[in-house]
Amino acid sequence: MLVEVVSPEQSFFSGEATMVISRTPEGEIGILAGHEPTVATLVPGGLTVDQEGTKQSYAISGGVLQITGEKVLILGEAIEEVDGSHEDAVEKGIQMVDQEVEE
Amino acid sequence: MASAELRIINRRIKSVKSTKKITRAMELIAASRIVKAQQRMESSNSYVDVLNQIVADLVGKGGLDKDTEENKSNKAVIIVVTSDRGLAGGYNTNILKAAENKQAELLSENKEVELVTVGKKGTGYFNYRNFESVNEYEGVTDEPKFDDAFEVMKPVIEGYNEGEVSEVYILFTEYISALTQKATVKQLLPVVSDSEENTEETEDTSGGYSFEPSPEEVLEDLIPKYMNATLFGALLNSSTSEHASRMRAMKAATENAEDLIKVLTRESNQARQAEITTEISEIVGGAEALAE
Repeated sequence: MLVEVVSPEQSFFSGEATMVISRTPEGEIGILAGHEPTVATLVPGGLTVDQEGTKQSYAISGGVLQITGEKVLILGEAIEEVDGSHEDAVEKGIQMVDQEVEE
Repeated sequence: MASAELRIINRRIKSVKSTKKITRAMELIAASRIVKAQQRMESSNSYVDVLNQIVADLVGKGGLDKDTEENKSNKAVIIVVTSDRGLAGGYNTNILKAAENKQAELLSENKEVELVTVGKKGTGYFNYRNFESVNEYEGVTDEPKFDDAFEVMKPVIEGYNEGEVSEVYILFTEYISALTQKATVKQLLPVVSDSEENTEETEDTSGGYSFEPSPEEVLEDLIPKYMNATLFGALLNSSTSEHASRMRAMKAATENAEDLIKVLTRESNQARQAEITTEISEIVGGAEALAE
């Protein structure tokens, strides 16, 4: 399936992937090819794109997820690339929002 | 006498030449910025467009009861995006004219109009005409950041959440091409849904979605994001338009300066020649007087 990860300022990922893991208000969500068309809001946390084993994680401050047919589109207000596991990314994403609140 | 004329002309040539240097430099700067601004605009397009699409779909489905939202108050917010600096041809004039028209239209509908200006030129224009703007922002339009859009929108979103604001318009200059930019009024709230125009088509696409958590909650969460994103898109469009507009204006100014220099150089040559002729005839006249 085709996955795109974009923030308002730049595009982070665009290409084929086997799985996407993200977080909605109802909990973690894993998306495989052939998922039903969905629109979901994303809560602060992590986002991981799995390309047949190679994983790339991102910290995300919240956003929207749209699944249409064979395409998964992730719109994040603020996204940062994270070198590490999905858990690291989740932590980072939550930190990002905490910082904003403190400021 | 004649040499005074010559000196005046030469002085003008000098001043036109230095003006030409400035306009030429500004033209080149604008030209280099336009490329970057355009790239940023394009990379934001997918974010802005998709968010617009989802919100329009949701509202079309009736996720938000539009009538009750509209009746809450009659306050409208106009966000006018202008530039901080001048010398951009008709760029600011066009957008301000459009802003004034929109304002007059809203006032004639007996609405309370709140003005938010982004850019020094817009602020100055409205203050001079005694329309106080509620919020003014500067230093944003040259290279807009997403955080800037966020900051401008924050009070508006708060007003909307408290039910004080029912309509929001953004006035910006849409970048169509390097040669065409258009002053545009974008209605942000109430959300214009596509489905009102062609019901069948959108029902097919949006009807199939499942929403997590629920359509209402998704929409509620999306509205502020949609407002931020749309404003950000508008800021980027305006910024690109500003650079394009400035480039064209400065190009024209440089060309005018060149023409002017040509004309003045001719005049200067003529004056110099006249001066020499006078001198020669004076010398000849003097020599003849002595010979007699």
